[in-house]
Amino acid sequence: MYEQIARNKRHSALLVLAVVILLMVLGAVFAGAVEAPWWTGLAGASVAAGITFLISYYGGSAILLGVSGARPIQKRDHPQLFNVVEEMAIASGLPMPRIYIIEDSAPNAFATGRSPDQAAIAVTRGLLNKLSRDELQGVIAHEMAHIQNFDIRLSMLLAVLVGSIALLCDLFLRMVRHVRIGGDDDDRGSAGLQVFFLALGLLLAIVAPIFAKLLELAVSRRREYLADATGALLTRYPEGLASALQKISDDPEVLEVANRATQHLYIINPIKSFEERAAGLFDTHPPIQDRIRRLHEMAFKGDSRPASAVSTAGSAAPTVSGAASAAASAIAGTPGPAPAGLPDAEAPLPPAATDVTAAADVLKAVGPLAAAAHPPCPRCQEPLLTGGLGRFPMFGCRQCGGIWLGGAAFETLLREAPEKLDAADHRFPNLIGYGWDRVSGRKCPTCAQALVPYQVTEPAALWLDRCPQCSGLWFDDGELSAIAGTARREQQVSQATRI
Amino acid sequence: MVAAVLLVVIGITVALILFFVGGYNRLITLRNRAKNAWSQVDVQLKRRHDLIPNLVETVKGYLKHEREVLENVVKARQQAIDVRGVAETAQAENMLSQTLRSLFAVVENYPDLKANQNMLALQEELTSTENKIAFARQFYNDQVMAYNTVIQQVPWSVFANTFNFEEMEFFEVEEAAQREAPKVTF
Repeated sequence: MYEQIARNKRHSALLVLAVVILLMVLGAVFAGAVEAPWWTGLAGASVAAGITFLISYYGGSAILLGVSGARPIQKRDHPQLFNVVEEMAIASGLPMPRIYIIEDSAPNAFATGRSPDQAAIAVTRGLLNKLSRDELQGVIAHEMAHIQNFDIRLSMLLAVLVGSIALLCDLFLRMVRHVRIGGDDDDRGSAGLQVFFLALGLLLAIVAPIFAKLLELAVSRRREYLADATGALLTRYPEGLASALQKISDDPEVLEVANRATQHLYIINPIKSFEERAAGLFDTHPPIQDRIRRLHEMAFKGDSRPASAVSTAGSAAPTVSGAASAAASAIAGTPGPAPAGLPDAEAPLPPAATDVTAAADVLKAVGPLAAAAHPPCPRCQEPLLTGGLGRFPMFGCRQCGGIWLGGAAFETLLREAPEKLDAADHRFPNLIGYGWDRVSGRKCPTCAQALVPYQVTEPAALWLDRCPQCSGLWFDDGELSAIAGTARREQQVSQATRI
Repeated sequence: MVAAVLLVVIGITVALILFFVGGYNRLITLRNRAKNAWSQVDVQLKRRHDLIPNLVETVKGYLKHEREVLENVVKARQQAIDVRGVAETAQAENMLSQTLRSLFAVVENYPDLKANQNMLALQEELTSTENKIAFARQFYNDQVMAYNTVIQQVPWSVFANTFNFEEMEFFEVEEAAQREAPKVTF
């Protein structure tokens, strides 16, 4: 993650440099074309850019918040939002930003402000209503990352530079009509040079604004990836943001307060509909699925907190149906674009599932799951994370630490690799502090049937919840470990006595 | 000739002095950052300590038969307030986290209490405080790592010894203890 951030910063710096050089070259060439001293064009361009920058630097964020209809809030207005922002401020070591709410039911958010001291984060009402606490935290971490990386200042700088280039080119195209070749000078060589500059100037005047705009958009997309990575570093839980992005992009509602001028600010481009969000050159944001895929990949790098070590199945295909189709393509002999298999909880993400039988197993097991990608936790209704244990699919709850496993998968793993079950339980820590209570009204995450109590006596005596239809089992936090731990010890004892 | 050599020598001396002054200041900055990060952790820990009497007050009326769980929380809180030093604090706070977890596990069995508005607000505050402690700890550890790395590297290692820059302690969490499932009888 750290290297990703460093590389991204280098690229951004290079792109800004490219735009600045372009502006300077344009100034000089245009001046040459109209036979003015070369530096006048350069100075003129710089002064115009400077003035625009000062205005947006000091007035920009107030204008933006005003245009978006954002309203400042206090802690009592929304304690949870306030707490989440405060948590992220602590994690990043930055001062607490001001918080705004936009009364709009489409879920989205943006950050603004020229420096971390002056920063503000605005979220829509829809975002607050639709996201879970973890997802909200992911989004806020992303916005906090924009603040920490000075992205707001960078995008402002770029917008001004690009605007100045457009202005300069426009000015030149108007002036060109009044230029007389050779002027008062009799020297043919000088006139030749001027014709050359004129031609070059005309070409640049047409190409440069487009080129500059493309560079600006490229920087904008890079900064989105960077903010995703930095945000993941803050929460140490990339899954939260990944799941939030999925939810926001699946949401059919359109943000009414956004327009062309403010679209690049939001966490997800609010103007384009989902189908149109392709990886185009003219996009302010990278494609959502790619962002989600990168977040999932981060989740598998070891430096995150334990819960994130197990994450969703096919990483580019967060929906299980996607994972299933990817698995199907693996069976057909063409490895899917995404890692298809449900990866082992401990192993790093395999590049693609090549084991045909494993893929078939996955496909069979995943079949009934295809309806819901992130079914609610039977216990606390939090969306479950999908993961894999060996070649079996598994669901885990980030909040209560519970685990859902197929009945056959449980039996097999208990026999063959109890240590894996034990490890899987420890990967989902219990964040709420629930005990092993029996709560009625629990539903199977795969077939939505009501779960029935089910007693296990071997190797440990425990009451579990079982689905009468698919015979899947629900383990509250610690239950799986209690069973697997006993099994493992028994295995060790039997091995020891055999020797 | 002599003048030239003298100039070079003076130049090198000045450069060295500047280098070491800069380095010294950098060490100071890093150490202060880490200390400041620790005070952030401290603020959040205090906040948790302050929330607990409120929690006990809310829960007390309902949990007539689980006096012990409540007493454990109160005891762990007192212990956490009394200890000094990073490692001891970490240990005491982990204890407190565990007792709180058992308390919440018990609370699960009381639907009236779970639906209590006061309880809901308290639960959000305590969850958030737990998070803030975790994030403050993460930030503190990052700062300590930055500082410790510098004072372990040549030439600053020599320098740090001379000027008494000591390595700072990480705020460790006992993962095993933290993950232990709460033991609740039902």
